[in-house]
Amino acid sequence: MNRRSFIKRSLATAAGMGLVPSLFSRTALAAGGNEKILVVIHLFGGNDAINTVIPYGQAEYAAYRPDIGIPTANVLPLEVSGMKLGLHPALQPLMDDFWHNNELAIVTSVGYPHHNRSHFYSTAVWNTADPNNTNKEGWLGPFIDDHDPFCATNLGSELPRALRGLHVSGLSLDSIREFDLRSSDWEEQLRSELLRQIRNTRSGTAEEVRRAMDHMLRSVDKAQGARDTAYDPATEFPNTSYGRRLRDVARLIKYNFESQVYYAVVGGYDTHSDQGGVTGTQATNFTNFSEALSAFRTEMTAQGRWNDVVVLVFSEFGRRAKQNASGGTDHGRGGVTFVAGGAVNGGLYGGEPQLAAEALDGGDLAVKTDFRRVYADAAGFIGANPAELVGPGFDPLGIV
Amino acid sequence: MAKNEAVIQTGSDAITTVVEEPTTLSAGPFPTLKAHPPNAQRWKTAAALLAAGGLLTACGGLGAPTYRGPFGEREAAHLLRRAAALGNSADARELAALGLERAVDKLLDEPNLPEEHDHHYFEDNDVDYVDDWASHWLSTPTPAAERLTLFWHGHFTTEARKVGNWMSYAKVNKLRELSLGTFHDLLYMIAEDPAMLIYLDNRYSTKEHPNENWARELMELYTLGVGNYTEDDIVKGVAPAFTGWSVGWDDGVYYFRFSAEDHAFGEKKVLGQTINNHFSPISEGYEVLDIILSKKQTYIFIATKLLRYYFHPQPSQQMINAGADVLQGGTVRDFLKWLFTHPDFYSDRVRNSLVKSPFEYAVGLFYAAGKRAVHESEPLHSWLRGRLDQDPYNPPNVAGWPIATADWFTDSSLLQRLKFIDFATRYPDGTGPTGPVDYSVFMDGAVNTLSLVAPEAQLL
Repeated sequence: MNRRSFIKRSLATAAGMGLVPSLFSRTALAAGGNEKILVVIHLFGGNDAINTVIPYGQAEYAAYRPDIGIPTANVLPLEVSGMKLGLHPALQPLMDDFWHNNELAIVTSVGYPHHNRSHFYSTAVWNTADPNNTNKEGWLGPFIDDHDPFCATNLGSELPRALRGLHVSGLSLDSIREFDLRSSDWEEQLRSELLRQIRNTRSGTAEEVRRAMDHMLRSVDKAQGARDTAYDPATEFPNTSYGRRLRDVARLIKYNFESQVYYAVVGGYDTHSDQGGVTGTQATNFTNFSEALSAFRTEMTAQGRWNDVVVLVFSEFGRRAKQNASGGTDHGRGGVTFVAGGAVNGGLYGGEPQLAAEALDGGDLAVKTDFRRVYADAAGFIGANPAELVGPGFDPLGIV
Repeated sequence: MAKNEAVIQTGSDAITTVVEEPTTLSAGPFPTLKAHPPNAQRWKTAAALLAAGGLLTACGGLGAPTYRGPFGEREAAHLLRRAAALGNSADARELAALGLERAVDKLLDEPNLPEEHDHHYFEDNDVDYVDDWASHWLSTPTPAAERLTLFWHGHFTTEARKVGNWMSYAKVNKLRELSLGTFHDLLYMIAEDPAMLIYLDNRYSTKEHPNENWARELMELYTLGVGNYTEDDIVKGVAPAFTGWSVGWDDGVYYFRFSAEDHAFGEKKVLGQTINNHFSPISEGYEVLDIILSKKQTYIFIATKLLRYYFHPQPSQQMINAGADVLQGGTVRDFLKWLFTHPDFYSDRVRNSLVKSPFEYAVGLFYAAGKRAVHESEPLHSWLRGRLDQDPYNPPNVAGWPIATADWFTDSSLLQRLKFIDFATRYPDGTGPTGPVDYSVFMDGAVNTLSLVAPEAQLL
């Protein structure tokens, strides 16, 4: 019997005996983590991979993108031998702090088989790691079921499916500041009344609720260290959604919040029109994103944790090779995924994306690398069994 | 009329043409086809029951036990909370004055249907679909139909993030209209529902590539339950029988469209029965539904789920069997009437044994705070989506939401339920309660607003 089925059986037994199901009991489910931390950032909307990692040496590039193409002079060359490939100029911090330190893995032409260009379908595929059944628990769900809700934390208002388990889901807090029941006189009153109420045990379902409330109050108290203690990071985080999210993550890590997975979704990549080139919509996104990531790296290094952290950045799909009539690009297939961290084997995974007409798939970058191989690396890093999270047959790429 | 005759009769035009009947907005909520084979099995069941037991009682069961204890405000409050997830002491007193039977009849009256809007209404007026539903729930004379509609919507799941908001809205409206009818009618409707055809990808199911998504969930989640069919039933039976069941698109709205050229002709076996309808390929799907509807297990499965939603987290096998009989021989209304008049329904063990879903919690609390509509400046939908962890238009997955158990609680969602008290009991500028502020039906033991932190506030 593996650990999971043992836990499930124990829960069933407890329920069968009329005991309170122990879903909320840390002692029952907490399994020792390996202290490694995975930060997942979803660039929602479908980031245009071709203007992210630019095959500027191919004649098709400029031809396909007369208005939004990045001039060769502005491209930041990756200097991978035999390839003319470079980053978007707004990703300069990524180049300086990560790529040159061998801390950035770039996975090109990444995606899934029988690709669908829907945001939601593709998001569901990336969230479940199962293109054949996207209406189910998240790919990190079994990990959360094995541990407890605190092992995975979403920074944002909507819990992504990736963090939904069969039995429990990860924690979702919009901001650390709000994970609190003492933010006003009214809440102080609620809190003291609640403490009074839950002193008295009950029976049946009411007792289950009482225990869940008790657990919640303890959790809020647990987060209090991070919330109430002044936080003085080693560097200023930019006041952008990326910056605020990553600052909260760094803050929780500093106070040993015990989450092994942090998750954030940031939108703005659905650039059907006015995508821009060296400057513009995508460039601004990239500036905000890469500056925040650099701040996070600085802070993690100062905390002495940079080797324990891996940041996985994905988008649900890439976009068309050719620009459209409104200065943007439409939904496509193959995308690009970044993996960054002190323990990462930096480099290019997947080769140079090919733009020649015969190499494209319906006008899009063809998918060459299954995203589940990247997930397999990430799963292994946090001590999970990759096959359990992404299914069998997806060998890690060796990124970490 | 024998079933085969009906099939042959309706089949002749179905085989030669692609059946298209666009859902125009004025044509009512049902994008149905003409070709409904009559369900002989249902009539047989009814006839057999009549022959065997004489008169069917109004509650559909033969000699079903009936609660004979006191039916005062306290019992009426429990009934109201379970049936409608909202109410106040005046509502409870009114029900108590009617007596049990008439009180139940009143609760289970024909669902009041909201004005049906087209998709332009929501786009042009920036009205949120969830707030619109909540406002209806708060003001309708038949709130029990809303809790039941939420049940069916969580059972016959579709997610707006895949099928769109308006398609989900249309589906919810159809479920409401049929909510108290027979399971047969609900299943027929949902099989033809364009939101469902999109959600479970049957729209792409062709003879070259039969899609198994709908076929699988139909058996696993919607009717029989795991273990009551084989993989072959899905792959070689149900999936090919439904090939060609697809959608068309007209004037911004999807509608059910059968495409005969995509249908896999030939013999199929479903649960041991053979289907091979050359004359009316579209009917093969209905034949699958009829086979499923002839199985006792279907009613066992649905009755179990209904009992977990309305009665107790762990209903006894005896209750399940009795409920399944009522459901198979009658309507959902018969089932609920049987349950709401059952002696066990009023026992202390059953009272407060269920957990409110966030939507029920939110609507119940709004009502208790004297609100009869969601004001435009208090976006309930963003609380439900972002904090309380139940977006009514987006079930977490095809299996739907947890059924009335503590599975609902994560630390953050429970914390947000408490924070929600302030939001629900405040009134937007220039407004105030339009009904009494009264928490006595919302929860047992309420003294004042602070009482809402007690575990009982989370219970039904």
